[in-house]
Amino acid sequence: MKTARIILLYLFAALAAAVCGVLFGASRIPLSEFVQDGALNPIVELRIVRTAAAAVVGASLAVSGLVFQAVLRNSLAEPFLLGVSGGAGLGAAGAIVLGFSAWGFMSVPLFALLGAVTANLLVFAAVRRRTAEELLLGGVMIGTLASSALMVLITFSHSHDMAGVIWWMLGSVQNVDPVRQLAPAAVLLCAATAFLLMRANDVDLLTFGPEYAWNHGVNARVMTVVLLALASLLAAVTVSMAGIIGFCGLVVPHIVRRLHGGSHRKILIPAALAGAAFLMLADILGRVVSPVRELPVGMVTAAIGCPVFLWLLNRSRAGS
Amino acid sequence: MRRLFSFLFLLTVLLLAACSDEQKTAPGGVVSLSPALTELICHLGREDRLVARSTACDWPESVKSLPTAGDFAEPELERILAMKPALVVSNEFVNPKDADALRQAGIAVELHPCDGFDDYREWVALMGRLLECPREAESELARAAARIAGFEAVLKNAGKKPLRALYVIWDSPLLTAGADSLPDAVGRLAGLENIVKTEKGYPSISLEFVLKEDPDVIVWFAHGKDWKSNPSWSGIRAIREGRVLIPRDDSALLRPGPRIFDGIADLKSDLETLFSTKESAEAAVP
Repeated sequence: MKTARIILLYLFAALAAAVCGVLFGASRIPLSEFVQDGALNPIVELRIVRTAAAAVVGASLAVSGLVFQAVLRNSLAEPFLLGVSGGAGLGAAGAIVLGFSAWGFMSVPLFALLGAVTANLLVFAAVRRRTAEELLLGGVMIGTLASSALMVLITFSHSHDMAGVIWWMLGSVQNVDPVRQLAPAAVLLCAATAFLLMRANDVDLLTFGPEYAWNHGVNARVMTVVLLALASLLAAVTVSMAGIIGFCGLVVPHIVRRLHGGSHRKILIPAALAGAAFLMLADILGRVVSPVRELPVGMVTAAIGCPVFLWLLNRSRAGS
Repeated sequence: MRRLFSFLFLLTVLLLAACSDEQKTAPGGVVSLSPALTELICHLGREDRLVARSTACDWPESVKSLPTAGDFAEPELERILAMKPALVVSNEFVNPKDADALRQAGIAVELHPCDGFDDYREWVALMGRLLECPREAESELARAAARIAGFEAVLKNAGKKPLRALYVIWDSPLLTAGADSLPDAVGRLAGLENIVKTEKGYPSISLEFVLKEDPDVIVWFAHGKDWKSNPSWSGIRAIREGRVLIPRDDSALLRPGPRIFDGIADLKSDLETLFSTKESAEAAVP
């Protein structure tokens, strides 16, 4: 299938998910009540913001996962490998447990972003040779250290703080500030996608290994660091906005790559659109299945992503 | 031989008596790991029996001078064992293994739910027996019954439709008080109706549900949190129109202790003030 057709197909799926995201939710609103007294119904307004947030978070995670899987040449790689989730979790938990969350709505996301970026920088600073494998190992170590510190904080926290930390870690797109969080994340996503499209050939070459890329004129070490730093930044911004949402950055790029091959120029935008559609649908499910309590979106992505991933895995093995 | 049998019989009787479930009085020091129970013990005039408290026990002011023996429902075993109290009281959330360890050391442990008015009545009666103050306990039970009957009579006579309320325990995620919770029971006596009817305990609910239910008032228990900086909250009409009530002393309302009835009276009066101010402000607009 031609690239334009693939993109159109995924665009249609993402737009359909976005329309469903605005139409369906905890309550039934007739179309005639979408606008009341000349103003948008607050419920519809809430749905538009959270649907847009789900789209940006889902697309960012998918793009980030795609880069990680390409550079690390590992189809099980995901956006949080370089200590991002542990660092962000520690930052957010620190803000909640130590009382900084009282400073205002943006304090928890900012602390989460700070934690994620710090953990990521620590990985790059601690690993001397900065090959993909060593960065991966460094990421695992720093991530484990951050997770242990997070557990210590949770142990010393009060029950409400603990609930806040756990809910934050399960992921949600319900409380996203459209101006201070969503807009900068969307700009970063667009800029990262444009950069990756320009360097798609380098990403393709890196999937054959650093020596191969070097032989074809790519500074493999620098490119590896740049790509992993960019992918981690995308993950850090999403995690600060919506908590830790698993599976989206693992399953979506994996499926898109299996369906449409390994050319990153061809699959980058489809992966982003598929990630957006996947998370929007997961968010709708979380709202509709349990209208009052609402399921955390991270739980829904795991519930859908895990069986889909296993089915694909078994299907491809049976085929081979 | 006869003597031996007599001795064994006596020993068996003593052992059975020691293992009996029947509650006895507990002379000696008392450790309270629940703020509501600490308040109750002091209210019954048995503060002198308290030898330690939890870090959450902060009322009356005088108990702050007591040493701490753990957090709320989380005993520090070594410290308690060193104090050698006769009795440890808390709600049912204490780890059963910790409770067993205390019992094995010969310390009486009373762990029961402490969530609503029924639990409060049971605790009052139990404390009256254990702390040998039945008269004070009876008097407290009578006071509680009279105060509750008083609130119910006022509501009945007023004949007003209750205000629909959302109780915010935590803002992000939005944790609220469900159908069988203490804030729900307290609010009902103050003339409020909880918008969360199907969920029990302290559930995390969706913002869309709150927007759909459109509560008349929000009772804000999320101490130190600010709803104004969260843009997601601005869609709620009660927030936009300033119908948010921060209780004067949320500990009086969230603890099923002797101060709860004064807390309800304060909540009721603050609600009346909030709505009369709103009504007069609306009437002043030409």
